[in-house]
Amino acid sequence: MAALRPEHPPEFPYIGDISQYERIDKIGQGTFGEVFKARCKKTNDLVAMKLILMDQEKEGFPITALREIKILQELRHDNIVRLIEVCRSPMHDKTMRSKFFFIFEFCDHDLAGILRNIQIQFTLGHIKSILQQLLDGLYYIHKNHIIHRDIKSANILLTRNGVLKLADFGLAKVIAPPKPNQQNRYTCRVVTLWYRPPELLLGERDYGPAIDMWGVGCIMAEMWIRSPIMQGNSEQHQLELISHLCGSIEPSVWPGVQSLPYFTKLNLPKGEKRKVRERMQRCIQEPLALDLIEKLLTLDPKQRIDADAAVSSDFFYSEPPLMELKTLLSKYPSMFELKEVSRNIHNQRMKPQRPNVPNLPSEPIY
Amino acid sequence: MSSSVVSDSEEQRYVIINYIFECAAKLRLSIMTTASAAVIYHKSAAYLENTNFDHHVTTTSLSLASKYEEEHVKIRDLINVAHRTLHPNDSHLRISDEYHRLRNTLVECELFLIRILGFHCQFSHPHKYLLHYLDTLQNWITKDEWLRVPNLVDLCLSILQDTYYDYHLCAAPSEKDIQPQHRALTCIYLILQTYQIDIQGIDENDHTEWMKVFSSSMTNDILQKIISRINTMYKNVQKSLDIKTDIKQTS
Repeated sequence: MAALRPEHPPEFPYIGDISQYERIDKIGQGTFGEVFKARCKKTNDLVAMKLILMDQEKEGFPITALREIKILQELRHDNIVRLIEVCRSPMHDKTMRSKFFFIFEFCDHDLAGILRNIQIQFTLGHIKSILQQLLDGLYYIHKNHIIHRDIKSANILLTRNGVLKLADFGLAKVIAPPKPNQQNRYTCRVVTLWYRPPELLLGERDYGPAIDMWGVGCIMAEMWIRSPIMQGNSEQHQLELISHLCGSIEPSVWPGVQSLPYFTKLNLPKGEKRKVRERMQRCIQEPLALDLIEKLLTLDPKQRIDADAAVSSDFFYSEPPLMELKTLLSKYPSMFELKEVSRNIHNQRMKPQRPNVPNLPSEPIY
Repeated sequence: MSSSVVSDSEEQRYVIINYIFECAAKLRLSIMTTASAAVIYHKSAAYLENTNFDHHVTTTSLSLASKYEEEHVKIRDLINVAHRTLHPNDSHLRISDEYHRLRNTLVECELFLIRILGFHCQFSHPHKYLLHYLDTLQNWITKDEWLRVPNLVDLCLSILQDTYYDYHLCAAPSEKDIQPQHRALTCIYLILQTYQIDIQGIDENDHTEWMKVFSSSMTNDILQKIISRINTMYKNVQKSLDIKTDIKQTS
């Protein structure tokens, strides 16, 4: 290779340069890294730009990033976020390395941000539309033998036209169909704690699409309650919250649970009754919605409803019909959890004397 | 592309692919990962100025393929196997400056190849088609005929795996009309012909009839084209390997 002199920066053909996009604003921050809103200088289209973390450089290009790229390239669906391309930054002076970025289509809102904004009032028709699109997307990825493994409201995006897009496939994985005499050994340290299903908390390593469905149950309840329904601060605490809501975790309701690794190691509450309906009735009046939440928040993953059955449940085929979200969402500027949270903090500081500031997350139901 | 004479660079490719196959076998990689590694090499080599044997690119192809296909290989195992295959008479590669140099090169080269591939890591391999077609043919061909060649599936897969020696069959953008389905069908055809296996109701002289059931775009021209490519490959691979064994040593 020719000597690298500043006046002759090295050329990298074959892949797009990040300079064709202009950064506008930071819209996401998490363990996965930062996400920016940006504009394509050529087409003027808005995009979302996500840095590919390269922490395991010793092992070469991270297999997790390759997995995410492969999965995103394979999936083409209205309710799955579209990957436009992968770009690189100019080479860093010292390390001589480039950074790589995913370029996604831009979505105006994330569901967590919308739910935190108390001014936005959903009708039952809106909620049906959101859930149906979410289930459509999940049905599609599950049918393609992919599980998302990080379903939560912050990973569900909505465009201003009211189209839902499932995003962040950083933890997603192609799974092998279950074989009778061979167990899969996936990591159970996936899914954000508040949305993590009981089987993962108990150390199950041979899991399947049902883990995503538990998250849908949490999100569905969140649509009414407006904040995550089970905000545990440890695995133990999360399991306690689950038991308080869904009843004790016992072999009588979940055959085979006793053979999971942590079943005896953790302290599981005994004698709890299932109170999903009872607890949620206060916020959710619609009986068909409660039926579906009951089926989604089923402790035993084998009995939990799958995306196919959920999307054809009576909830979506009863009055009132689905309602377009476009008219509701196009009125508002972008809402992202990151922004809504900082806006809340801001409001608290500015007006400490007023107790009921809009935008404050509502009380959890326990 | 139907000529049976192969160019010098093609002969070199045969040696390189053979090296990839050898390393993959030693690492006990699946046929899918091996096939992906061969495609990655072919695709990358099309962009490289020099087609001389570059063991960094071959090793990196294996490393990338193992990641794409979720069949993880420890980077140290890979470097050791690659090194040992290349230098069978040398002593083992210890953790040394040389090892770390090789490792760094591999990591850098990985980024380079990923860029060349434009981050596209889906390769449409013919294997799944081949197995589906054979599954259907099993019910079509009479049982006695089918059982006459007990390892028929393995034989088809072996021919298929050998087609990865050939750039034109598995990676050349100029050969867009050769689809993975066509390669699968041709491999089956060659075995059926070799063992004179009859398909009921099919005219011996027009095998495209049953092929069109599986892939409507299959034509006799495509069939002949692939067969001639495979013949050329079989005629020349062993010869190239015999002549060119010194390439590895000199590089």
